[in-house]
Amino acid sequence: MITVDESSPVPPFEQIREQLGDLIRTGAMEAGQRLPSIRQLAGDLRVAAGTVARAYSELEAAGLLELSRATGARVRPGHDVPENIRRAAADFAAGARDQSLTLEEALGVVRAQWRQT
Amino acid sequence: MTKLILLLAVVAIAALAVTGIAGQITRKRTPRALAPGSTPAAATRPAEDRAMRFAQLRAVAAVALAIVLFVAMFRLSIGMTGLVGLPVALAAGFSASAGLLLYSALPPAKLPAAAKSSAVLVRREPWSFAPRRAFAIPLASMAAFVLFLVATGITSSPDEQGRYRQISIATADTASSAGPYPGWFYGIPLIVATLVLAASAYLALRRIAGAPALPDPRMARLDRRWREISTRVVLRLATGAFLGYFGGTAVFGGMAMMGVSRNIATEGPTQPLFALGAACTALGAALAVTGVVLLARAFWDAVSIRTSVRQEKPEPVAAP
Repeated sequence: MITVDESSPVPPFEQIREQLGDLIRTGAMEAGQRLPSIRQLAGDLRVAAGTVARAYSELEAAGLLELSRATGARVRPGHDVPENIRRAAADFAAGARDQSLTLEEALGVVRAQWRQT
Repeated sequence: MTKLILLLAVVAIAALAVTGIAGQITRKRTPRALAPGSTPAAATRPAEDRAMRFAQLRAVAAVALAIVLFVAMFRLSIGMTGLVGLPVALAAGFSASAGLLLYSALPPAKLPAAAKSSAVLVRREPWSFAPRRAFAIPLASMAAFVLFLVATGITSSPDEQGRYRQISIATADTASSAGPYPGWFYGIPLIVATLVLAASAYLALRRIAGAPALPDPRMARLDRRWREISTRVVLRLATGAFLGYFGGTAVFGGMAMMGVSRNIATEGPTQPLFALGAACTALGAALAVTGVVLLARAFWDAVSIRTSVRQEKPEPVAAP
């Protein structure tokens, strides 16, 4: 499931692109899996069809999706993060929640560590 | 034939008018949905009722339009003696198609934009809300009907006006004809009506799959149930109307076969034709009764959507 928060400063297409990208990279969406049509997703999220189309085309440009007029949008293979990284991320997220950190705070920790290494 | 075209034009205009009025009503009414924000832990019954009202309205409108049009077309057709029953044969198919087209023409309920909206990433297809056999049975029946009409078309012969609507047998001593028989005169329009009906059903199923999900994530089960029940209504309406005229056609074909074989001889090579005619008549009657039962069940499903969505165990859609 993905959500769009209208009160967020992040534009809706970016919210959609980001969440779909995360789901593909973490393996929650498998290679070859078909995504909902642009019209369906736009209707369910109450956004314009162009918003979803833009998110899809950016994911296609990033090599995560393949778009076809006949079969719609499919997840391209070879983009999921290795299993050990996913496990480490799950442990980290669980620890951050235990410490009552917000998502932004947790990501800040990752960013800081990333720069140091 | 001019009268038939006029009748079909009237039907098309009536369907468009109803569609237009229904669209206006939908636009003017306030959106139906749960307001976002502070809501209780579970969706309340009145909130569910509100969300389901439009689903019910659309299904009832489709079935009601089909029934009203069928009655109107049937009554008008009886007066068209020059077309020797062709409009009567087409009435069920075209009236059901009109009902299904109304279903697909009615826009989905307008739902207000919530501050936070969500969507599941499962693709909804027109065939997602019923088992595969629920589609396979009507499609196989339609294929059987087309084969039946091709067979009767090939074995038909022209009447005095050159219309292929009777069956004739000639022996060394005598010749005999009987009708009405579903030759090309009835067969080709009936094949067209069947294709139109199948296309109309597909459009209605596409509308069901394409309607936006209910805005409240707590109504996910409800969202799936209304789609399942609506799919059942569409399949039963289309299959019921189809079996109705398939049965009627088979009955008339069978009676003509029996008639012509009875005129020729009581024994000999025409006897298998008599047996085939009797089988066609009996099978046709059974199909027509099944069609009427399915239509009644479609109507019942349509009017009871709001109570049916709450049934924990979904009713199987095996036979549409």
